[in-house]
Amino acid sequence: MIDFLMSLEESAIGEWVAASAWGYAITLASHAVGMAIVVGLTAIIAINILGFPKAVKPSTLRALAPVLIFGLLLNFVSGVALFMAAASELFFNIAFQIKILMIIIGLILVIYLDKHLLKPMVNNGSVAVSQNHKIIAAITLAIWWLSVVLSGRLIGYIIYV
Amino acid sequence: MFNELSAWLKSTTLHEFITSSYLIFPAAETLHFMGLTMLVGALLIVDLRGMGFIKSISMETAHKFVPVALIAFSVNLLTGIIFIFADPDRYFINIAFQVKMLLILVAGINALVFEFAVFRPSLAGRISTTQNFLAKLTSGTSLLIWTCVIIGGRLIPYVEY
Repeated sequence: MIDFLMSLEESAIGEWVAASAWGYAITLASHAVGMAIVVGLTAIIAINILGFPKAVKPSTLRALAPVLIFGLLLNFVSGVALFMAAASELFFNIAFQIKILMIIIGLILVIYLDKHLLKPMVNNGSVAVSQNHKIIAAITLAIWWLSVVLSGRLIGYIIYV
Repeated sequence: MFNELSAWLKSTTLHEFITSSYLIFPAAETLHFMGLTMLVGALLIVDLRGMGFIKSISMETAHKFVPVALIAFSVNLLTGIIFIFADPDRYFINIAFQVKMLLILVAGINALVFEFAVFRPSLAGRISTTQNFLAKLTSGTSLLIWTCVIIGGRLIPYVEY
């Protein structure tokens, strides 16, 4: 495994991100923009399901799906590039592992909310937000915020402490 | 001028309080990230609609996310003040920070133009071609500026030396 991780670091992308003057800055900036789009829209959808703003039906926010997918792609591509620059360190970093796990759980919850609430709401106007939907929305919000943002910030601290 | 201001900030009880704990700065950083995501999420809805996209969401509905953006901005303003009080010397001389502050000021003026020259007149039924153009211009400018603000903020630690 360590040979594979080292080969990622020694690849053209890994070395560009790690060693070039602007490589890391550009990739990190792209990752921050992608993160703001993904977590921002997910958080907005979650608080809307929780009831704020009341006048907006959660199903209307389905129109934001293409923007959310764009943010995810931006995050994925820049995230892979950042990983390649420090693969041998990040792979064994507990904060990074938690972050990836939380992203997967967060995505599953967003897809669940879309499939079981937003999409049925579009197809049938009488579908309403239930208590269970609100609980799942709150968990989704907590996962994206507390886990991804927090563990994302902690990666740096754990690497260098 | 910055030297005097910096010396005064470092002489305050707030500076002493923030720097006396290992928890306050990371906690403020986390809140700053949360605020940023909420701000971007809310602005994406308002600005994309203002630019003429996501037409399934009415402008009036999109505008209901402005309070979310204002709350998120307040969180970021307060946590941003904590950063400055903690280490004013670090920020005042940092070019990325200076550009970020300038961009936020421009974003604020741009938002006021959108609110008073576009949104409120259109709500009152006074919509003209000029206002339509102004809506697209101010909304596009807002997205561009806030993207640069995120990038500027992320680059602050990398242009220090």
